[in-house]
Amino acid sequence: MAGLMKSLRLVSRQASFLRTYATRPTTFAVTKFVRRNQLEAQILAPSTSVLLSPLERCYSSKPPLSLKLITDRVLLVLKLYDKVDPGKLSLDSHFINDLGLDSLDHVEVIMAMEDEFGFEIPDADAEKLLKPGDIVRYVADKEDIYH
Amino acid sequence: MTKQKPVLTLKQFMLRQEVLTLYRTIFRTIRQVPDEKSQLELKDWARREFRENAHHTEELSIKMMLNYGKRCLSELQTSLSLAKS
Repeated sequence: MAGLMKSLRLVSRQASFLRTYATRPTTFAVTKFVRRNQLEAQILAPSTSVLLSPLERCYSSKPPLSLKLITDRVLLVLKLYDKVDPGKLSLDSHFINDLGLDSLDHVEVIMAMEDEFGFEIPDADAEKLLKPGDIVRYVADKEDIYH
Repeated sequence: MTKQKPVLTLKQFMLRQEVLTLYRTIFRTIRQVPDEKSQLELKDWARREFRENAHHTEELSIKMMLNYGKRCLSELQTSLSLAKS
């Protein structure tokens, strides 16, 4: 019974430490951690400098987009698609009329764009995107990019 | 010169939309497959099947192929859910 209470207290202490680490600023949490456990602090010391310098958290996020970056990525994906002739490819080339793709290819191209930019494009919107320029404008709308 | 596309009747248009929706759904389901190599194989298989049967013009044969595709899709979905559980 006593051993169980001891292990419970240990777990709750670790849990509360995790909670403080997650909700309070990193510096405060790290110093509290350091005071608590000297041995582990020695191991952790080199990395605390990395934690202390930026006071903001770096969650994984997408790189900042610009219209030019979107255009480049769209055209690159289209060039990598083997049915597209890179010579005829431009922002205004129609997939079906100019580039000679058919509707199945169009579906594949739109899915490749979904993979590239990481968000799903619903069917109703997808059938309206018939030129690379349309796709660029659509992605810019969805990601709220104006320049 | 751009060739004139034949104007489709409503029924043909709806069938075409169903085929495209099925194609899209199949690809989205394939994305969930955990293994990269299997994903590529399945994608190639799907593309080949659709292309080989793209020439059908009769409503009945198109519907038969649609049902076949839907059956394949539900098989894929069941095996995916079994693999995940």
